[in-house]
Amino acid sequence: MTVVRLQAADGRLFAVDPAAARMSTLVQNLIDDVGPGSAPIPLPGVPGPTLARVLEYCTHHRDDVRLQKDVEDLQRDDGLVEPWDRRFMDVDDDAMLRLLCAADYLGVEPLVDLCCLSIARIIRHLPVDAIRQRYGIVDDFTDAERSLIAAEAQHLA
Amino acid sequence: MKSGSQSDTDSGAGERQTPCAEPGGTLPVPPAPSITSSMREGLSIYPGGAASPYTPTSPLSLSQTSSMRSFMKVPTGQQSAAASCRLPLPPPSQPSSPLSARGSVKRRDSFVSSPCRPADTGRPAGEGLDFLTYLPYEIAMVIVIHADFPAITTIAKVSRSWNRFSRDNAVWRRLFLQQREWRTQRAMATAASHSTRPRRPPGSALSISPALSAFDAATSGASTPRVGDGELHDGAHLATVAAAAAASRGDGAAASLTSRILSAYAGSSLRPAISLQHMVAPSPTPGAMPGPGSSSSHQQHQQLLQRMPRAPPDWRYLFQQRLELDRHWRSGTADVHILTGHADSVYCVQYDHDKIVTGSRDRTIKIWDSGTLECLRTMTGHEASVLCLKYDDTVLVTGSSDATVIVWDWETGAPRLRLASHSAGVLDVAFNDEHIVSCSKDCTIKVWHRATGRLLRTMAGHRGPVNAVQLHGNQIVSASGDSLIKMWDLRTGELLRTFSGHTRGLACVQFDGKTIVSGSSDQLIKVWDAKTGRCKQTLRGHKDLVRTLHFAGGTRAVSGSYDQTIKVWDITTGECTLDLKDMHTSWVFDVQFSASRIVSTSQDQKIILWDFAGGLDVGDIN
Repeated sequence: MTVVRLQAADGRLFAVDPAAARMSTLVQNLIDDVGPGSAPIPLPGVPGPTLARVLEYCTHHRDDVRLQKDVEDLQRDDGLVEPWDRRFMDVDDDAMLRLLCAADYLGVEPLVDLCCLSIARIIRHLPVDAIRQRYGIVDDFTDAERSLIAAEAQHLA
Repeated sequence: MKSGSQSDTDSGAGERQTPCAEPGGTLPVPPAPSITSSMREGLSIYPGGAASPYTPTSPLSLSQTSSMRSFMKVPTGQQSAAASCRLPLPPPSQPSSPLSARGSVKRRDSFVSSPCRPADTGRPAGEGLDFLTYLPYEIAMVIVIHADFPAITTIAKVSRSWNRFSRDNAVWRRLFLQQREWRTQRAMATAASHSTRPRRPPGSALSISPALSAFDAATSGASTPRVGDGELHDGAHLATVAAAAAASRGDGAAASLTSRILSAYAGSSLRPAISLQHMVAPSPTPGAMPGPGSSSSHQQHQQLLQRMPRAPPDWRYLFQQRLELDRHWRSGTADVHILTGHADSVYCVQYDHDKIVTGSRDRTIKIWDSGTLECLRTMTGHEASVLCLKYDDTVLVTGSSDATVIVWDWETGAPRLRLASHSAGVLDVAFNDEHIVSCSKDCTIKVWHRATGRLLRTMAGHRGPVNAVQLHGNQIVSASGDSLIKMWDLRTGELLRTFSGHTRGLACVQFDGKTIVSGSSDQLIKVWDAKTGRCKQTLRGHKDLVRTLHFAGGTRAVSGSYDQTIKVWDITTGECTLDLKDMHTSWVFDVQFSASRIVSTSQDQKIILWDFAGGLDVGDIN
């Protein structure tokens, strides 16, 4: 049982279980294309610490059965996040975003979903001001636009 | 596992090689306040696409980096990177930027490099990262969809770029389908109906290119049968259009992930949502069809072009209409129609979007038009009151006080089979493709072969009249005057389970495979878990015998009672959400509901239709 070697953007090397590595479709494709070799697979798009986190996730979930998800299953799920995942995602906004970008780059779909879900859970209950404050967003509407939006919101209230 | 180069925990080093700072790592302090304030300005002109002074047109040289890092959080500077980060990048072909003496590679164009800033959460306002604007559109969409309604109305108010998502048709489609109750109701609607095209309200934002609208229709049309777009697009043709479009966006290994994301989140728009400033009526240009690479015939091509001007349904509009329909249900806002014609009590009813079928003590069955409410046909054949009826596309089955079950031919309107074996009135019937199940005042349940009318089995076990019976899969559920509900195996007749809890006789029962809902002379409605036998909920409110129920999965149940009222319930909370009284002037005998209507019948000889969709465009449901 060989180990898969990955190299992060900063040169850090990681050795992971093949099943864990295969959770990344990018890594899987590279292995399939290039063939197993002893040279570590370079992942220039992911810095070391973030790659470590992604691999932590992949290692924990490496034996998960991957269901063919029906498109229509994309639904609210709060109850279905396992405790380990909840703890794993208990990080600040930066780390979450970095994790999401890395997961997307590496093609780890369940982790992309988990990150999106975690971010969504944060913004779901925030009022507009709190969202702007937290993420440094400026209100760039014109007055006309603002009243138009308010009118639209009425219909959906 | 670390390479020989700089470890990340090296603190204090001004020149960190990894663009991404680890929490707790240090970054250089922004050198000059003037840069900071002007970069905030840069924030405000995003995302109109206007260039910020810091848009990198070439890989950055290191000399700029330390000052650049202070504004790395500003997405404006990364516009080009953001665009490229739609695809997971293979190693870029551009030369990497010159580096510090440390020598490790710095990939400026990798989007992952962007969110670098001090990770203290106590940062002052204005220093977070506008992730929704910054992330690839498809991923941002997933976040918005997970945030769900009503958060999307908040999202719409945050900023212009956030507002895009609240105008994206694909997002609204997902939000619509995520409403479980509405999905259940759509499943309830009969397949035969042709939906009317939803009216688009003035000023709605939908100018989509035909190719993309085709993609949307193909993916939405494929998985959800009818959604206000009775479109019959040629699925195969559109699939090739979609594939071509998807392929052209990707490159190399990244394309597979992109198309996987695209297909996984089917229905996603391939174009950015219409901006707030450009709300125009839809004016698609037919003829802007990409690639004739498909093998479809010219005729199909023409059909497609003809259909092009009709964009896919405006999901946001549909959502809003359904929300309004829910409000009508809550407030009881309904158009009420009264149908008269029967000469005596009306015992039973079933309806669909075309017709209403009723059975009466006057021994006749009447068929009414759902739209005009005229009586179209009267069928005779029973020698006593018609107590119960059920129909599907091919047969109508009725039970009567004359102790027989009649299987009618829809075309001729004449009885085809007469099933006689019961020794007292037949109180309820159910059937599937192969079997008919009847239950009777004689305390038995009988199973018949549907095609031939042969009696297959009799189940005796109840100690009182069996007032109601339901069939789902291979399970029969019966409710009796002996206050018990029993579950039987259809094929063997074996008694599987008994549900006890009611204190008086049962008059009605409903079963969808998972949940049983029962109504009783004890004035209660009970909700049971069919597998475990446990009573999950008791609904209180009726002041007399609960004579009839309708429940079809989902959370809504409707009951009719001898107290002359009809009540709508949420079976998960036990709450009565609507009380319809003062309409019937006598006992309610039967009730049925659909997504937008309730139909009830009574001893007062009236059939009442309550239409909650008055003034609403809910053409895709009944």
